[in-house]
Amino acid sequence: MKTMTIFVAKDFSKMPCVRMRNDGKKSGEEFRDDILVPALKSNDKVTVDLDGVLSLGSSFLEEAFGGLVRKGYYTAKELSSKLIVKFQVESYVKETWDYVKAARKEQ
Amino acid sequence: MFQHIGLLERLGLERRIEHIDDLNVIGWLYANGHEGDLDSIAEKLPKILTESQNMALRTALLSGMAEAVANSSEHAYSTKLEKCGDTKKNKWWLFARQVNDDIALVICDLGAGIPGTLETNWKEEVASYLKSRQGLKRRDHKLIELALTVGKTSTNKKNRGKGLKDIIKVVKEQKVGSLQIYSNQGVYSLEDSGKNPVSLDEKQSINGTIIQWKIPIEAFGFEDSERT
Repeated sequence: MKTMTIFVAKDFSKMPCVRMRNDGKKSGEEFRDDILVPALKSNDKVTVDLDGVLSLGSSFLEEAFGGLVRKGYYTAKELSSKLIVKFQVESYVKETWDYVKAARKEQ
Repeated sequence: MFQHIGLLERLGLERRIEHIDDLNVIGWLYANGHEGDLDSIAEKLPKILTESQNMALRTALLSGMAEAVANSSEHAYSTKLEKCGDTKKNKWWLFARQVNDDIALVICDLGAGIPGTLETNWKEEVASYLKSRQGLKRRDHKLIELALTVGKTSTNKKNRGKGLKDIIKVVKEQKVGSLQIYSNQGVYSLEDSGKNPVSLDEKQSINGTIIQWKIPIEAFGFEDSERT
């Protein structure tokens, strides 16, 4: 089984902030499309390690993770067996999965 | 202070003090931007916000701050600046400092304000809210309350508009400190673990939004010797 861990603080940003690329650097869209989706496509299982990240606003989290379902990359069910999200404060992990479960594929 | 934050220079005025050393001035962490790029300030933040033991509290505070910046970068300015053809001016300003036994964190922007964006994009919800409370006049502080309650800001996409819950999370969920929101004429204040919010309208609008958190230092679980 091919696995990979993305260390967000080191590989992307300590303070991801906005939702879309148009809104600024280090957006949820940028993380999802440039880092997370390629990792998910080339690995059986991907761990997103958020430890060391200082801020986890809902705009970033929803777009990065909920956007995986909304943009049609994966279903929530597929992600449940393919994606692991790690962070020391568990409520943010739950929030992340809430966005995944609530997202609906755009028509 | 005006020299420290670069206002004198922007106004074309001479520096007035050779070396700024007043603790009331240099104590402020100051940053601004026209996009939601916070990476550049991560290294400037005081250790209490990056290394203190209470990770849930500091993450909630910095996430609220990031979301306030994201909100101002996403939409607060879009209409206003597009109209005047200026999309590169600063959209937000951040100030942080220790005030006695508290950490104060302030974000401000000169956008449409929470009432403005709510009314523009959630017309039906605003109309329904006012209709359900007969005799209630349209007041900015009531619209701030509505925005906090419905958790929606200025976009019609259902996946958006969750930011205001991040902004009140510190006081509501961590049950510590206080939060003040000034937006246009409206003022909304949350203290005492979020139990008794106070809101009112001022006579004049500030034409934008200021969000201020004040959190006791001891809540971060930080030793005195580590406060640098």
